[in-house]
Amino acid sequence: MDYIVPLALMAFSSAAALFSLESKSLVYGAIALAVFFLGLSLFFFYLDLPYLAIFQLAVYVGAIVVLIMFTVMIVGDKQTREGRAPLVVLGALGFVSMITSFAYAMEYFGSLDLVPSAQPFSMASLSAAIVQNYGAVILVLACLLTASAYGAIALARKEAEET
Amino acid sequence: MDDYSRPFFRAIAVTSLLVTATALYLLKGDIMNALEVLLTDPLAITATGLFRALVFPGLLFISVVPLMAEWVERKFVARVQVRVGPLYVGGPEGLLQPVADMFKLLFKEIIIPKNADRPIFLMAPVFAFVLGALPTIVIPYSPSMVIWNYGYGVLLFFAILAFFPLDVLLAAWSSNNKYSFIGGLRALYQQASYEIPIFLSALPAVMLAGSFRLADIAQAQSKVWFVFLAPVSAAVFFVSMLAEMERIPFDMPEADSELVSGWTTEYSGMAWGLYQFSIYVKMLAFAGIFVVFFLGGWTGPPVLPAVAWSLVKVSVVILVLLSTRAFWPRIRIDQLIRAGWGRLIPLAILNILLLVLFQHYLPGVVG
Repeated sequence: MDYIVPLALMAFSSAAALFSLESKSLVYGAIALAVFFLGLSLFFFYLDLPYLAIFQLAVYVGAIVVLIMFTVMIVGDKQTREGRAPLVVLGALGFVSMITSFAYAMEYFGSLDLVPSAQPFSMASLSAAIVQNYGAVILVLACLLTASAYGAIALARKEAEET
Repeated sequence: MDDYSRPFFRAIAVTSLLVTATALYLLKGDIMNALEVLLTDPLAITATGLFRALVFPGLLFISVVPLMAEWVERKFVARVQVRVGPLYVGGPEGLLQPVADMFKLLFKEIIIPKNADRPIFLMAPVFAFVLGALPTIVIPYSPSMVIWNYGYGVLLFFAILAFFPLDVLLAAWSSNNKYSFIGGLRALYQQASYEIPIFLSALPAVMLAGSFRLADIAQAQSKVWFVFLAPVSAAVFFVSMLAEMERIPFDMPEADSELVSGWTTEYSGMAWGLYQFSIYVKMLAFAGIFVVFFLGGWTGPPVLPAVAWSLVKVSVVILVLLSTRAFWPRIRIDQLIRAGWGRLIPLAILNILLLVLFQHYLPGVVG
């Protein structure tokens, strides 16, 4: 029951992210994106990273979502599309697998006998350890992820042009 | 109602129920504690967290001040323009006029335009009020009279501030009216441009106090107020504050002679009332933060208690904010944007640089 808060935040954020992808209205999608960023920021608060959390709020909700919404409103909210069942199912499956793997990972980390176990294991201590010891690794991973996202978009575009 | 709006409303309802239930569950100790204090020693209730959240400086305070501010504004502006202002309702000088206005608005119909986006149209005023009230939780009125004495209070205040353009844009777009939309775009330009100078001009106070905690910033001014150490910053902050609140020299988003009533054109009844309310609540938050940043917060000669000093200063700042409406004409939107990016931001940055130099070379004099 210790992980009820991160699990609830995960469910909240994932639901918002899924809705932002699947919403029929672009404006509602943008609102859902803002809610997703809010969930992410709450997650950072929970991980005891208040500086990051507040800047997540100020920059992403305050600037990025506003710009997206601005663009959507200028272009018009007329573009609608069919609901795509496979993507929803995939998203739900991904969500369930994420939650399960998270629960298993927490079990595993909790069972580990960490060397200076003066304080009991918590999510905040895990986040502190990751940020302090593996900051550079996370940065490289983030770059890799961005590159792969760009690659995926490029591939998808090419396919769309061919068909 | 549109087919996609129903799940939206359901999600909102379920989320708010969950949040309320969680809050009650988490606060059950505080509530029982407050009840116990109330039964045993009623005067000690002011020391409980629940009192701070619900009465002062929390919910009751931020509900009463807007009404008073509205009355003061109408009386003050009337006197400046040689009129009398409200006169008949509720005893001397029409004191209960704002309450009468509120009841009128409560009983008026909220008309929703046919092609408006109903969920957003109805939610936007509620969010505006919540967003106006949220920043007040970090503003201290005395060392103990603060709802949340948060270590990153300054940053949280400006993070919440960043939400306002979103709400205005949504309200403007959902009204499905060209005047609303133009007003919303103007508000977006204005608020997004002036967020930068307001944040930059708040930094000197943070640098001088060496803390992001608002209580520490107020305490650091027990000898000399920051308005004397960083007067340019205070001026930039004040002007940006007026622009953020869309008060009269900068009220292009609702310029009545051009845009009917700007982005609130389609709002009526209590939905409009909530918007008016949120403007005054926001004014209270801004006046509070200005007092904490530049006018020493609760510090002052010990003839008055700390809370009273805070309230006096906040009242004076609110009066100055209200008075601009009587004295200044409206400027143009391009002049405003140019002034923001071309004058205020360089001024604020220059001020920060000067302060860094002073702190480095004259450490005894500044900070």
